[in-house]
Amino acid sequence: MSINLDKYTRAEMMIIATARQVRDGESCIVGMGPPLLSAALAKYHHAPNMWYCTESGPLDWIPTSRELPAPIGIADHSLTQGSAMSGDMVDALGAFVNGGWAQSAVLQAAQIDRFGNLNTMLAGTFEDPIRRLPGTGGNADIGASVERVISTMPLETRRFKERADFRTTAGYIDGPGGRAEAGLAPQGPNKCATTMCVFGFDTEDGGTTGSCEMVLERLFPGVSLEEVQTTIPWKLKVSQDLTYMDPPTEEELVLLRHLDDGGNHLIPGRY
Amino acid sequence: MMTAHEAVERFVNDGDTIYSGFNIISFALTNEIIRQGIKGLKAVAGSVTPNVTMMSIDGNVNRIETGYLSGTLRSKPFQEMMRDGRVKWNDYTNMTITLRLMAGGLGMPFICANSFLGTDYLLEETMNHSRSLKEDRKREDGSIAPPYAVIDSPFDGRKALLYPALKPDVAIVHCQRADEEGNVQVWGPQADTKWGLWSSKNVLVTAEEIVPRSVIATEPHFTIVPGFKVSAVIHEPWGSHPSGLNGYYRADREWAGLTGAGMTTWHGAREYLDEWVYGTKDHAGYIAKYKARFGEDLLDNLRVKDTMVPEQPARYGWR
Repeated sequence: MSINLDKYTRAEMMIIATARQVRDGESCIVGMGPPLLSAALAKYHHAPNMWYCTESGPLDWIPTSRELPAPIGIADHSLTQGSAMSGDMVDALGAFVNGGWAQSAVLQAAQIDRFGNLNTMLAGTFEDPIRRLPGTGGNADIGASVERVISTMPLETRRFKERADFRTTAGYIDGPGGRAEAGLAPQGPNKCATTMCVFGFDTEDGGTTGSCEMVLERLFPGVSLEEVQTTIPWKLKVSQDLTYMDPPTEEELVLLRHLDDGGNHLIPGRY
Repeated sequence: MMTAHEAVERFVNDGDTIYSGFNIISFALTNEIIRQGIKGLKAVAGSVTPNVTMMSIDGNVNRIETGYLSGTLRSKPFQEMMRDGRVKWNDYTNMTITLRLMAGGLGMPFICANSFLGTDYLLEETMNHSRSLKEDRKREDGSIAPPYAVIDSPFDGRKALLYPALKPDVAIVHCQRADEEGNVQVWGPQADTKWGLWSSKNVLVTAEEIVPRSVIATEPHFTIVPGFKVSAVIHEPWGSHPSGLNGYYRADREWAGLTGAGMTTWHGAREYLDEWVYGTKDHAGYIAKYKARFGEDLLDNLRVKDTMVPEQPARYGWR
């Protein structure tokens, strides 16, 4: 199949940029929504030996057919096709994640803040909510224990906050030392892949030293630094090594469109 | 063995705490609870699903403890009730609810997890917000117990979080198969199901198939709770429709659009309940009506046709 490589959406680039953060051979807990698609793309594209696990219990999903689309939910029946284990939440979130065996997590959120804390609870406050969101699912459980978090969401001002309206999932909390003070282990290098760029965080040791602030690391082709800066409501740190990310390859785009055939993930109008 | 009607009549009471699971939902029992007008239930589950939305419209459920409102918030009536306090709730997570059910099942008073360390769940305004379940947490002396608590571990001084055990009055679930004694067999990702059933006082199970004990006994590793734990087993084909059942049928993605079950407005929600729940006698009646209205093919096409067959079945033996 030949496709026009100049015609891809920023949402597709977000999924591809997220997938590129997933490493071959690592164990990964995959959250609801676009993360299921990104992690499936990684598995098909460059990380065939990644352990693809979701919180309802399928552990080490290896699809035996490339005909299947990416799972739509974390309990999608297609996850039992080729899984090594069909366990439950105590196995997946308890033993696998909190027991310390998950090396990375791919998570979506409604908001992220300057220190990488995620919000899936609400916009506004409990007493005066602008919008109530579904709640954390397993994100809080995962954020407390996983070695490295890859978060993903569109780059929009309402999603990027100096402080998240509600911190459902601990990142670096208030900055250096925040995780240790809260009783949590170090975490990182965390990344946040958006529709325009990829952010990292300014800490070398998982949150003990450095400013722990979000840092712009990679711009997508055709996106300007200014466009990103004006979307972020605080003075954004920019990496000294800021570079452009490579555009999608043909293989990535073909795989992605096959995996999301039907638009169950990149729902037209939402992304 | 009994009917869904008898099971709900005997075992579900106003004000009960009800476990209704994360991924194998008994819509057959859900609909029966609505038909019988049970009021004031508290729904607990790792995630609550659209069946809890349906039960909230006429006040069957008015309290919730969960980690995720799955699809529920698409209902404007539900959002409205969360705002004005007709629905009260406290937020947990998928894992902490499952662990709380496990603690209940194991007879422990509480269980430890670190999920909320460093988050806003620990703020007073989260734990005791104005629509939170403070009344349910009232101690004998009138003071309010917290929904979870941070302690310094007596063993190493490190911070830890304690979550209270959950012991629901009743659990409802659908399963692939059971026998007449109530031995319940489930396969596929099980989420919080096993501990939801072990922790609940009465367990009501609808089964896609009723099989002889001999079938259960050749594959005992699929049994998630034994028969003595089960109060009622009900034969109910398509019992989890419109959600799916692993190996039997896929979730019905046409359902909400066809029946108006999106529950986006009060009017739409009431119309759905009147026509598809109050307007049907039982689940068989609901399925018959669905087929008559939308054609047999719609459901037939959801059936899983290409099932996996064990290459080398598990072998048990004793001599």
